[in-house]
Amino acid sequence: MSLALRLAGGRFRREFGGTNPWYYVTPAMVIVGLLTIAPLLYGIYLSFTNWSLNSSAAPQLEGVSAYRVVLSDSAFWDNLVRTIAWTVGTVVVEIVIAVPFALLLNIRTSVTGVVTGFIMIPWITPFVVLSYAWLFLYDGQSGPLHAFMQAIGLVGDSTPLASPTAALWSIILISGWKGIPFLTIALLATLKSIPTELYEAGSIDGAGRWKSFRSITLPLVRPTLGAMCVVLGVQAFYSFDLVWILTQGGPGSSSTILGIQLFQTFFTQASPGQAAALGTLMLLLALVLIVPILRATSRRT
Amino acid sequence: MGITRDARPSLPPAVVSQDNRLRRTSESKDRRARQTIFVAGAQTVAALVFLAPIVWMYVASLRPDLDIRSGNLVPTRVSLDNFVHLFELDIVPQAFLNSAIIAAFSSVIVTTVSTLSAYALSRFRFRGRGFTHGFLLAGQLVPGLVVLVPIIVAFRQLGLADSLVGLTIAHLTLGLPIAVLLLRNYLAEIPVALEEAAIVDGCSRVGALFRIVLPLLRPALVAVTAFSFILSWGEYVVALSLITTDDKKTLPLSMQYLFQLYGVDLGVVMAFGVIISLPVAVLFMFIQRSFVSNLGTGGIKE
Repeated sequence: MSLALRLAGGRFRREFGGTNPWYYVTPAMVIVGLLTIAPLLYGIYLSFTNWSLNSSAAPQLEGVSAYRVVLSDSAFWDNLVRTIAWTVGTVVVEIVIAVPFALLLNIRTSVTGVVTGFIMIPWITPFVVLSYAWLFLYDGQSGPLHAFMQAIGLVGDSTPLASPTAALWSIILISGWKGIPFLTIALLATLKSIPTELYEAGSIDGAGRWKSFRSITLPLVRPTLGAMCVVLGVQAFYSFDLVWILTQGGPGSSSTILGIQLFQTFFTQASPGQAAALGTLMLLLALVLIVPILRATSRRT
Repeated sequence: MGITRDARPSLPPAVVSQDNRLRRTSESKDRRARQTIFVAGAQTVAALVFLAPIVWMYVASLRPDLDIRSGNLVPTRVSLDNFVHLFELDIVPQAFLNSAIIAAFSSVIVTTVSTLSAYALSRFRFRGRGFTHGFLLAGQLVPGLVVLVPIIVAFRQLGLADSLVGLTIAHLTLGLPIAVLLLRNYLAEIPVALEEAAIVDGCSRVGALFRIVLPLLRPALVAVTAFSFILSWGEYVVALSLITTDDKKTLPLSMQYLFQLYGVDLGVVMAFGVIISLPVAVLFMFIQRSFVSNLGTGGIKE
């Protein structure tokens, strides 16, 4: 900060108190503190209580019994495997569509601006709305998407959402679809930052399109791709809305991911203690999953 | 790139060769134009395929239930009947009002609070600045689902469950971290010298913030407010956990409620989807440019 500002600041601090930074940051810190940090700590406290609304009105510390209950339940492990499949599936759908999409939109034409604006719509449309739109697209009687999938032999007569084998992946498709715009835009920004001189140099050295994609574009895009996959993967790991609205985890438990289990433990079983333990476990699990991915992507760059 | 433009070789003086050259460039220009049209077509088709579920929803909202169920994709009868029918239901205008109030209040508070802290973080050097920064961004790292149980338990104890005030408070965390981040990026691009000059000329620090910084920051403020609004407008799980009374339901909850009641009428449910998503889409189109370009500057060094 320059001398003039510091001098002026000194004068006005005395007159108005206008340069005390804590006046500026305190409101935001109170909000984050009360609505994020404090609940996080309170949740950890609750997870050590095994508090159930059926048996007691107030939480009491009971050590790790809530964790023991959650971890000894085989349903938890099934749901964990399903959540990992869900997370990986979502990110794969996002990458497979977003990479070619970004490459296509990186070529500047008269419609590029409009198209880039419009493809963001799924990303900002509320989950509830998307859920019902897809619910009818998948409908066994009149859903056009179901008709198409049935024609190519992917699904049977009824909606894939009612099938124990198809429910999970048919929601993964929606989950991935919603994340595509975000990844596309991030990739597009990176693609635009690659200097054209690199491609010119490449073509002088005799590199074809495929070669220059593999040895120029891909290495330069990879850090963004890695970082975005972590962001989108974490988001997918904590999913709830889509699955809850479409199947509530069913049929049976064939689409129950951990977010669904947490909600059911809290509301259906009325066990805040166990639900808090599950929440804490999910936080730890995400950390365990993120660290190796981050390490792998940062090593490459 | 002024130098390269100046250094470009001028056209050769010989008339014949100039003629050839012109013909050649116009040919390659034609080819390039054709290529561009082809790419533009591919981009449009790709976007339409990608947006098909949304397009289908908009079209279905204008059609009678019977026509949608027939499986025929081309609309034959088009009307606004579904929307009329929708607004005759009491829960719909009420939910619209509830969502608008919650989203408006939470987004304005988020913008105010995050502007102040982003300003302090980018303009003041103070003990605890790094800590403050980390603390505010921690909000982004802690997933909503992890703190859902403690928040609902605490809100019930505080009497904030099943109340619009409670839901507004709970929605404050949705946009705050990203707002601080975006505003800080914007502030970094506004030269400090402008405020220094104002302060030297006798303006107070707060005066400089209001008269110099905020007007320059306006596009970012609009973008951040709109984005927080969008997040609150569509938020589902906290609303589902907090709100139980029908007349306090927000739009996402009401859509679910309506579907349970009128699940048979596809047109009405899709019309509700349009009612919820159209304001958000329009709002986003306004801020899209500043939002996308900000994502862009994040990726470009220098």
